[in-house]
Amino acid sequence: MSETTLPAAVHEHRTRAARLLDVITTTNHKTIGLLYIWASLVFFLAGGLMAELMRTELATPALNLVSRQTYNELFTIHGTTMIFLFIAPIGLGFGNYLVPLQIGAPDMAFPRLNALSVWLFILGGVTILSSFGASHGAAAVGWTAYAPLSGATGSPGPGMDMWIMGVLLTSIASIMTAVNLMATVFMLRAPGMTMWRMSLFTWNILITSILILVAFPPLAAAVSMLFIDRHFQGHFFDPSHGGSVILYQHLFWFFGHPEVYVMVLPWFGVVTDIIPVFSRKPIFGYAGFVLASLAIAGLSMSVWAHHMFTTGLVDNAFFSIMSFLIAVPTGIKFFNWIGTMWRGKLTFETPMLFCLGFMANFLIGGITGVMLASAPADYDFQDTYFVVAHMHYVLGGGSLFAIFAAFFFWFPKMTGFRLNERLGKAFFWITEIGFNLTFWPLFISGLRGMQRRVAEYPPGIYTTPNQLSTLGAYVMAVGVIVFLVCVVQAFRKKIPAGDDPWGGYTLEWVTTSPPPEHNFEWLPPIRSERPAFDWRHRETGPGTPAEVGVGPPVVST
Amino acid sequence: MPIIRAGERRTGRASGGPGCGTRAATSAAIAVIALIGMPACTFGMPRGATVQGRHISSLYQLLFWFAIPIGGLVYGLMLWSILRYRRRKNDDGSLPKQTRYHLPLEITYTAIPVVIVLVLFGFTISTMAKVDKVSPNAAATVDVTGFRWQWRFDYPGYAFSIVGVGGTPSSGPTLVLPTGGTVHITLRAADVIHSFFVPDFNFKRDAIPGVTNQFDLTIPDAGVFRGECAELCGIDHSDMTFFIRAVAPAQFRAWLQDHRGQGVIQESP
Amino acid sequence: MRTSIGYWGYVCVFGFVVGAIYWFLTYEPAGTLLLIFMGLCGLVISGYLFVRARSLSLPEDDREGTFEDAAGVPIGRFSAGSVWPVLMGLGIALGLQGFIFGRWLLVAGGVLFVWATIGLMQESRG
Repeated sequence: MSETTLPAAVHEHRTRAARLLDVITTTNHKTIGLLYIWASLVFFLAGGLMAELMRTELATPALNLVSRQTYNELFTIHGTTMIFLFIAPIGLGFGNYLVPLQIGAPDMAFPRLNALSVWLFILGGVTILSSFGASHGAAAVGWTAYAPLSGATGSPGPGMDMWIMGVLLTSIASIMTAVNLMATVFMLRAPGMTMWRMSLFTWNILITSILILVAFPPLAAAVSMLFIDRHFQGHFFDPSHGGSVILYQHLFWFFGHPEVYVMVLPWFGVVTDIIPVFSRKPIFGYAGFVLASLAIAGLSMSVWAHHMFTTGLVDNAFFSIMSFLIAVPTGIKFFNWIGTMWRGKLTFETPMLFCLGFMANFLIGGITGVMLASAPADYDFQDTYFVVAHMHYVLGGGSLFAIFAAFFFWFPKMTGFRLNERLGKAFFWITEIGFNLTFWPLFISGLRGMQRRVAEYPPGIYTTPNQLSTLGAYVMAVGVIVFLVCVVQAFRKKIPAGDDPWGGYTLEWVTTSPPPEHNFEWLPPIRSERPAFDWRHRETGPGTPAEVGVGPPVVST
Repeated sequence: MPIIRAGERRTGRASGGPGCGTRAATSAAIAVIALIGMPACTFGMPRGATVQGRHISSLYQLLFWFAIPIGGLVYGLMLWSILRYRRRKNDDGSLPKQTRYHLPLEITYTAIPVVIVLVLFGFTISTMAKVDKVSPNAAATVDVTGFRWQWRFDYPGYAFSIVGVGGTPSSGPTLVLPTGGTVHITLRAADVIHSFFVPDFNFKRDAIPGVTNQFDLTIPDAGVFRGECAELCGIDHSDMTFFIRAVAPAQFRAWLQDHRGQGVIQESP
Repeated sequence: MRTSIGYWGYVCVFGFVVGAIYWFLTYEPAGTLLLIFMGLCGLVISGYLFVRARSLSLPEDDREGTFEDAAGVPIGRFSAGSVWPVLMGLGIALGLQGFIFGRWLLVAGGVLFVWATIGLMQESRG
């Protein structure tokens, strides 16, 4: 182990085996971040394949491809994979890579803990996906795994247990990463990098870490209690022995709702880092954005039972008002983004296109979320495809698009190579069209009354929306193929990207692409949330532009 | 090269679009159509075959009517920014004004949404009170039990129950109810969580082991309405279809008498 | 450090206040306890930071700080690479599978975990 100095990068010739060993024993946040990102993308492809199988099955009312049991396993593992093995960890992966760079640190606070967390994540994912091969098959209870269906009688066999252990492993990994990220932001910022000068991606990752720390333990508790019920004669969720079925739902959703914000807050941050660059303006309302993120974090802990409105066992009014309120800080962010673009000079490279697509799609998801917040309306929507459509608009149309925005924006920094702009734009348009074609019809089938988690449905009013949706799913698959071609081509052609291909604002653009082992040979003075921008304009302007705005400075940088 | 070039070749008019007169007439036409159409459009949700369901449908329409201008405003602002503020080909490379904040605007766009959601919450609470209200005088009471994978309907006091056997996504047992008065349902689950969902009523309630849920339905007009289970309960979750047949009160009483004392009646497709 | 104490303090206050409101509205124990414990979590972290770190003057919080200010100050130990994390990860993963597939796996995982813990500690000392 070495004290931190800043050695020059050393490029030796390494054999394949040696490089593999390097990766397995790495403790460098950049390598670990890349492991998170690449592993998450592989899991995304697996989850996407499951989705294509499901959509094919749903193209006709009767069974046409898989059995009911297999279909139930597919939607369970699809949801589990996309949530636990893709959207949440890829956010932590980008956080791992970028946060130390954006705050001017040489690495994360606990590098070996960081390495442990990525291996636990990967092993957790392997556990979940290999549960398809268990006797009795994989878990078939939905990603929510409600008791008693997930109990010993409802779900016999090791598949359900492997789901539990896989979820536990990824939960431990997430908690470790959250602790690491918070300690890093507390203690390893570069001189002059006050909290209120951090990039908004870093701020949102920090707030995500708070949520992870508070939300994941109840999940770990819920699935452990489930395991005890299953194997150690527990009766936590067994009403015939004094237990409570609804207790599982309280514990699960106390985790589950903050989890969806864990899956969206980093991407709000990504979009907020990218839009200003391509608008040639600073973010509008930095302080408001941070306060809104904090409000979202707090409120997200008090809305959990809006997933339980139809149980008749919770105070619908309390959860309804809280769920309505959480729409407000989310809406504020839209005004941050629009205010940034307003009177700017916009260009539409691929990352910006994905950010705009994110906004357009997330708005629909958000508005339908407000509809779902109204408890009596939810008596109709709950457990129908209306909810499926809503959640895919926020997670698919929202987070997924922002993930691709992040990928296209930071790939040059991480690899040193450029991605083809033409293919990127084609990928965007194919995905935007395919996505909306897939999920808009599901609002319609949901309003007509089609329930979730069924492989077969009665012929008639549900058929046409389902067929359109399946067509859209195939279009999205074409988009993913274009994306893969784009990535492979970038590694083949190796067109150098340079240190700063976009004119970026934050510290990572000051160093090389890819950065050296301990990130920075040198740092400019940090006087605002745009240190790279300020450095580039140090000759032309009066130093950092004075606070330009109306009203007293809310937070002086 | 920016992909979005719409608007670059607009008409040469100074106002950049159709003239004021045409614009006013178009807006007026849209407003008139909207006002006329307003009561008629249910935006995809069934109108509601119960009194409670109609309240829910009205609430949903209201939510939708709020969503249209809000969504329209945000999309409009986005579209305007994309079209009006994109970098031109002959750009001189200067920086636009680097506005970082505008406190009055930020406070406004925080306060107005809070007011809007409080209004929506008010409508929500009043609708919920109407839908969840359980009346002390029910014209009929049925005990419903969900089990893997069908339903059982008990008519207390008449010593018979109807049990579905071997349903499919399209067929299942029939729950007969009277129109006009308040029908009281008690809902239980025998094994895992199920959910009693009738799309035409815009309503569902979960059946949870260890819990008895209660709700009222008031069905004004006769008809047949399909129901399904809306909580994943295992492999044949999609087979838990049932039908509600609402008939006039006199017919209902006659039907009850016909079946009185018959014990468990199995209904299979 | 004030900002960090601030937002953990916010978590603390939010948990306690909303937990109290929730209790008196619903008398529902699970959610109340979860909210109260969230408040306790915030209390522990903000309390610790307040007591120990409030007066800590970090170069990063110096608004006029420069890169040169931190020159030569050791800020941590960043290992070049370590085999123990992956071994510990394997130990934990295999151990958990032992609950499903058999006690022998639990033992194997446990051994690996202990070995990796010792390795990590020795590495920290060295």
